[in-house]
Amino acid sequence: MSLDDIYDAVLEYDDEGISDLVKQELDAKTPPKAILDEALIEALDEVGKCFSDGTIFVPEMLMAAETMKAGLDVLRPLFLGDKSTIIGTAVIGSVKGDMHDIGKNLVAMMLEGASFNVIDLGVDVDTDRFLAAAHEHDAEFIMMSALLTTTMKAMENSVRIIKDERPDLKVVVGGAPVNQSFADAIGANGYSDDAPGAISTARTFVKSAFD
Amino acid sequence: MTTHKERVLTALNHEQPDRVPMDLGGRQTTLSILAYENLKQHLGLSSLSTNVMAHTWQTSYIDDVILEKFDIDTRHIRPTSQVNDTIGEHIALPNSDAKFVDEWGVSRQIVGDYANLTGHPLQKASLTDLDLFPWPDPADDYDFEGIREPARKLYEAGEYALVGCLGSPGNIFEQAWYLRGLAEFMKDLIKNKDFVHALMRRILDIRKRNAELYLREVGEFIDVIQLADDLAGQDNLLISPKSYNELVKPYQLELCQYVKSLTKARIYYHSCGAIAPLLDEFIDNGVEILNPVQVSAANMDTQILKQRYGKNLSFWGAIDTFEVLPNGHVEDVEAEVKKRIHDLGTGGGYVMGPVHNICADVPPENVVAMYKAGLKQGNN
Repeated sequence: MSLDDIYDAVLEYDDEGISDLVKQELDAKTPPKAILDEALIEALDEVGKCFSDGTIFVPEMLMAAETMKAGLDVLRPLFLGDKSTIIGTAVIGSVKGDMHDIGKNLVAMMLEGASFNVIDLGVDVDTDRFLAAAHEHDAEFIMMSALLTTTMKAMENSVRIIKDERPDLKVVVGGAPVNQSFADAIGANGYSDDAPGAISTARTFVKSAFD
Repeated sequence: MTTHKERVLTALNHEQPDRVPMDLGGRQTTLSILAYENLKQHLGLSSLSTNVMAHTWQTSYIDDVILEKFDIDTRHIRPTSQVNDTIGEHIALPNSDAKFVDEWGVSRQIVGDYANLTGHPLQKASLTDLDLFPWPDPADDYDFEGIREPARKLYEAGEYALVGCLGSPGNIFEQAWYLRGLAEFMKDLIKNKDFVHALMRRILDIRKRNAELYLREVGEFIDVIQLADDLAGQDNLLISPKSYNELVKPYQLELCQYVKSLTKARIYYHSCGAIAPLLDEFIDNGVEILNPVQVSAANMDTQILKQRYGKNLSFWGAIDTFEVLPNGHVEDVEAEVKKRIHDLGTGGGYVMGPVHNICADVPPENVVAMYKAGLKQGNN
């Protein structure tokens, strides 16, 4: 019994077995924070790396994130009220007019797995909802996704208004048609071409905020 | 004088035609309703009526007047939907925010010029629920008998290459996740394989019935038969080659072989995205034509594709709808056409067309420029 078993469970997509492994580890008096950092987050980083390298695909990535979430569900009650384990709050959604959510869901699941507080607004989210949720939950950043070339315009509008009204908020954009030059052109703070990269980007922002 | 049909067939025989053949007006090679309105206006042909091809994709048929104007070499044989889709009389109008449920029970909502999927009837289903599901019957959804006479006339006139569309795309993998929800189905591929096999088999049987109903009427007249099933995203396959071979390929292979048993038409297979890693499998399935050749996706370099697969595959599409057509100037469009004809059309094996249905973000000037460039630069 060790943290390695939990790490392996994520990599083997054992979403049914992981809860028991985490419980056993807790019974053995391993600190929850160690289980999170050294097993779950490390495993998710490895999965993200394999996904970015093209050696695993969306199904494997989703199952790994799902498995990690099952493990996290056991830990979460232990963290409640302990703000130190939450490294940042992100509001996430697909932009106005865009009903696609798999990329956005992956990012949301991985963010949550990486100890972020995630406010997922779903699909077809207009600028006001992004802003209201960021205000209500005191978020540090907004992450938005667009899958269609035709909804990139909505992304551009939302980023412009958000940066105008809340220059302190970081905005990260992504989705198939979006690239770095588009992200730069519309004034977004960050961009990634895949879900693992989005998590790394989010981490850098939080790090710089706490530096 | 080469006929349009000879031009296409020469190219598909991997021989050099007199000019590159050009396609417009079929499934995945047409215009969205909004883009079609723009094009008609630009051409001074606003009086032509707009007839909806598929309300689920918000696409329009293209009038013969425009096909002739562009010197298009193909004509598409598509069974009409049993629903009256004439614009103005149907709920599914662009920008209408209309919600509707398709023949499979999948919920859709129109946003802009695109119908998005919003609900999946089998999201929570178990294996036994599949027996209770009201599966659609293609005989109820399309008028197959009505296409026989027009197809026969076109065939006897011998002027155009006839491209067959089953009515449905013939998709199995995609239809499975439309019914199940993408994320749920992706997880099924790893943890719930029995369910995947059962669902794929159900859908395959419906596709085979669709193919039989369609090809019984027009199988003897058509030159090309389209099948479609998207398997890739922008950067990579959606699923691993291993998952494809285990859970998808057997069903695609069976459909291709069944279609081949009913018609001599060449099989045209459409998958968007970075599909290169599966091309050998498609060839093994019996695919002879690859569409759309999404040049904006990873590893879809047209020179390399031609070099590696050009002996076994013809290419259909390839004019970039991602960057060049929506954002380029007329000169960019001309350069794009020139490049694709050079890369893919040398020695035949290429039919030019847009990578995907042209949406309203493409200026009509660029649509005209694409086909003008094809006429001008496609000459031998």
